[in-house]
Amino acid sequence: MTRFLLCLLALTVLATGTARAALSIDVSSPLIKVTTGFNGSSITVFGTQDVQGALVILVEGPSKPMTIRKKSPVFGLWTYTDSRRFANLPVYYETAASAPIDRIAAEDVLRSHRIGLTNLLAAPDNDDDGSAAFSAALVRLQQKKGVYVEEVKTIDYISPSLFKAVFDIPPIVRAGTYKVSAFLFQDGQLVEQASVPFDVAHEGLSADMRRFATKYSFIYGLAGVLMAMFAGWLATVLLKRE
Amino acid sequence: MPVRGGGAAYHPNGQRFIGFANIGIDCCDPLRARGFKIGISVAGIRLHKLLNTPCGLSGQRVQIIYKSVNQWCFHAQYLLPCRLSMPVYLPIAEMSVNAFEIIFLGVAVGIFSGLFGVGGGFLALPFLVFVGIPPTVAVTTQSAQILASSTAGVISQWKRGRVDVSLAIHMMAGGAGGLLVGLGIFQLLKFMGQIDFAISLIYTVLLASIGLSMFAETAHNHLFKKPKAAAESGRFTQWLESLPYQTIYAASGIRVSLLAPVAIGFVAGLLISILGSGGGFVIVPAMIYFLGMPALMVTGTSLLQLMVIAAFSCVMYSITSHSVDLMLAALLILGSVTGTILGLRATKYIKGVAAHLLLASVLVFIALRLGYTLLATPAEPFSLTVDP
Repeated sequence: MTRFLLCLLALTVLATGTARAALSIDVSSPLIKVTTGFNGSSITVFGTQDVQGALVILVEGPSKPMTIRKKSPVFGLWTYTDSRRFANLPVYYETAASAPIDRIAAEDVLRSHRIGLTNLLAAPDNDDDGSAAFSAALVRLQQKKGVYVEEVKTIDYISPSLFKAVFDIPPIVRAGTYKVSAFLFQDGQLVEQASVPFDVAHEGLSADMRRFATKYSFIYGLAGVLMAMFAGWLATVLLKRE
Repeated sequence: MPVRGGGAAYHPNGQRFIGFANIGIDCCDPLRARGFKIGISVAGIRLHKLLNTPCGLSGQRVQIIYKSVNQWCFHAQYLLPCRLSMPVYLPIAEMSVNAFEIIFLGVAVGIFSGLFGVGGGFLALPFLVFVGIPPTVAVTTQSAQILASSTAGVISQWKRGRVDVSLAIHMMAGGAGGLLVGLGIFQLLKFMGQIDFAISLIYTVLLASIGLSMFAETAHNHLFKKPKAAAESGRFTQWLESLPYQTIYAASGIRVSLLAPVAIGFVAGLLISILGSGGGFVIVPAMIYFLGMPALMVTGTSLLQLMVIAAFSCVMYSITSHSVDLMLAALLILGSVTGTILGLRATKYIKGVAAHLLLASVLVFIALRLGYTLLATPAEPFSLTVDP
């Protein structure tokens, strides 16, 4: 909360100062901790704009290669028969806008900045190999998981130049550096752009175990062996008592 | 959110929730209004269909699916009411599970090993995959679970002097080879994206054939009132005797080519690395029929080799694929230790033919359940994997 107020204060100063950017943003928390009992969270983006115009805010997760496979029946058994690989797609994607996105700018402008879920995966000019079905399925599956959000959030204006938007972080998020970008459009043209990163990090027992498992994998494996053998021995002791 | 009917379901302030119940019409719509989706399930098999009409009219069993997680949780219907929920984030599987669900699965597996003297890996693995644990993690983590149960078995058999160490060592040599080959096959199948399919298919065939042959054997014994004689395999025995490296295993009192135990161990290694199952169903009969071992020595000896192979596999997988999830293993082991004790107690009540038939029914049921997923048209033919 303190940070929230500080943010607001800083932004107010920014907004009234003389040397300033036309558009600047910041986030409520630079670090989201995913602990053992993590159940989802939210992040608030604040900002100021000193020129009129329509605003779009994007929150994107780190980009990862993704493979999407399709099942079809082979001799009556459903098995994966076809797949497509996408080199770099964000693991999380959500947008907020001050007006309906399709009225803010032309589709090719939006597409060049990957604004809007439909523009995230550019449709190929010719779809001979049927890739469009795969990219559509990818977006649909990510939406189902809640990591791609189709609904465009609204941007709340606290004053004509001060705004905020709230984004949900679902329980299943990947760790990494996320990026918030804001785009200011005037008459369908991009006039100003700003971005700020925040981190999602795994913390607590589970995260420590993960780090240990990758860094000292031999000791980790050995620890597993000892734990399992101890449990086995314990079982025989308990059984003797029976 | 109060829910009428058999199961327990609730909606704790937007927390991740998955549950089932015979929910009444009075809470179906409020649940929908809060962003839940309602699906239908019959006898635990989810129908790939969302229910859009008012539900609960005829006491249908329905599923409630949380909007964003959208994970079906039909299995929990049998395992335990969803009110008992303790989310635990599995570090390697990178997903959140209900700890009680996994412990309960462990208990079920333990009851099986206690009651029937089988490993129970065949039961655990399909369920872990149903829960949504990545197959790689499920198979490799099973090695820790197998290690725990085989250690307990070896200790009790060792005290009775029922372990043939030299035979077990020869089997281990083959087992190590089988493990490495299996590891390669597993990685290849994973690369091809066919690992889920392979696991389901092999399990279906294996469990169905074992379950059905158990039924047949029981029926045969029941009808003719005497055990069926072991199949005469004269030519095969002759061939075995003609193999080189004939070795005398004093503890078991048999003379057989060293290659035979090595080959059986190899198969055991393959089974543990690809299927995450100790393979007792295959290995124990093989040792009796092919090696001619006395039945009393078989259990302890096969468990000793299984113990060493499982330990080897646990370390190997930790190093090569970083896929052993010790959090998951700990939950499973905790449950299975408890379950084994319960199962051993239950042996007083369930005996002989009844136990045999029960085991056979469970095997056939799991086979049918797996077969259904292979044959039925999936609601979602696509699946997505995001690289780590």
